[in-house]
Amino acid sequence: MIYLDNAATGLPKSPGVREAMERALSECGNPSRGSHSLSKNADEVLYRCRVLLAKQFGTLPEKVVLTKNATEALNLAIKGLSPKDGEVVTSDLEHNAVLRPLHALRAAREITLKQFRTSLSDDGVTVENFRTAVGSTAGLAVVTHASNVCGRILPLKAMREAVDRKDFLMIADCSQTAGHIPIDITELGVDVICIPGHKGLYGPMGTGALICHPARELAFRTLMEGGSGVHSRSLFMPEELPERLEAGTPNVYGFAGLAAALSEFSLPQKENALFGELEKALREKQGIRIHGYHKSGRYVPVLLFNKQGIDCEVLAERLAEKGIAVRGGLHCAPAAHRTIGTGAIGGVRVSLGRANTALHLEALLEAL
Amino acid sequence: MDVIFVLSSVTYAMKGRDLLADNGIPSVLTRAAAIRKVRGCGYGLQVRESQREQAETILKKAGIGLLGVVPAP
Repeated sequence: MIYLDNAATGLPKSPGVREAMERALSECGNPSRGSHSLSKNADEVLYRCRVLLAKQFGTLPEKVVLTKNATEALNLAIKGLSPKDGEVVTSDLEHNAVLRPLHALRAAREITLKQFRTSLSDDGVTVENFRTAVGSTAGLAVVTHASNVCGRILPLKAMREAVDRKDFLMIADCSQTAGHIPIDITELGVDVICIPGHKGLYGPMGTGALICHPARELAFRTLMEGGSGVHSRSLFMPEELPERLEAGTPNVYGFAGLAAALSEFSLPQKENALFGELEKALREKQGIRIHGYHKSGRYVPVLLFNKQGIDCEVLAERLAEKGIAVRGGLHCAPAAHRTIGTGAIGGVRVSLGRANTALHLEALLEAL
Repeated sequence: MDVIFVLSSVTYAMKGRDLLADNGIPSVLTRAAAIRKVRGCGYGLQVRESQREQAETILKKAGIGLLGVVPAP
């Protein structure tokens, strides 16, 4: 199988993931629940994962909340930080992991929601549209770092700098950027980033994190309550992160795997060059139309296209029959497809990872 | 004679343990019964009484708040 669906989950997983998970299966009990060595082993696994994530994204271990995926992290952040009866701003490139929690809050009349238009050719326009949408009233913005549909990276740093208000918070969905480009939350300037552990970091599925700026104290409302292993006499969740947002038994085995992946991790060196070659070759191919790509922008290696005369899902199936894994359809982001102009027809998404080579791209082009 | 610093979470306890180790102060992570008196179930770091002052300074400087200090059993 030639795997070109790394935006869904990164494959193959890091070499050390399996062994770390197997070890955790036999050596770990329930963390934070006992004085015995099996429980303590699990605590060590979780802490090591926090330390590695903190190092990777420029924060402190206690600012790393471990979640089951980026979607859970986004829900915790959005529902935990949305201003009551306040205004929230989001972009027109969002995944449903952002849009659905926001619309749930809007449907419950807890927030008003405003969407700003991004520009796929001019970051200055994106920043200006964002600044206008936020204005003097919005209390929160939730914005993707890069589109899962077309790979376009949004200028989050400039956007955050465009709003000079202390009562304004910004959450970034880094599902497609974590592991593909360097991210330092302090440098980026946003308050929270949400990441999956299983995509660009090549950890196991069932892992993710909500990561907070090291210097900002954020008051999260809780989405779930339950055992935390500390402050047991209280009927409320602990005030402090990360335990405040981590109710119940966590996925220790998964985080053992993610820690192994992080300890082996380095940013990809060849992805961008390969992506450039793919874009050029597809553009030259007759009957292929690339969507949402402009040369002036920065991209993670995600490309959307259609082939004339064939439905995107049918094309994806035919490629699968030839041993090539891509993804057709709307990619859980119908709003982004509308923005790009493929709302009615969807598209075929090719997303590269660190194991891909020029030979893989040749096979795709040949199959097309 | 040892004392136990009571901390708000296992995360802070482990961070504190590593920090103290970096500064040459050995400590042991514990869920000793004495901690429950301060705040229900919780975590503590057991250190030697002779190093208590130095350890306390290091932890506080790193922003690790102590919920209390209790004698080790």
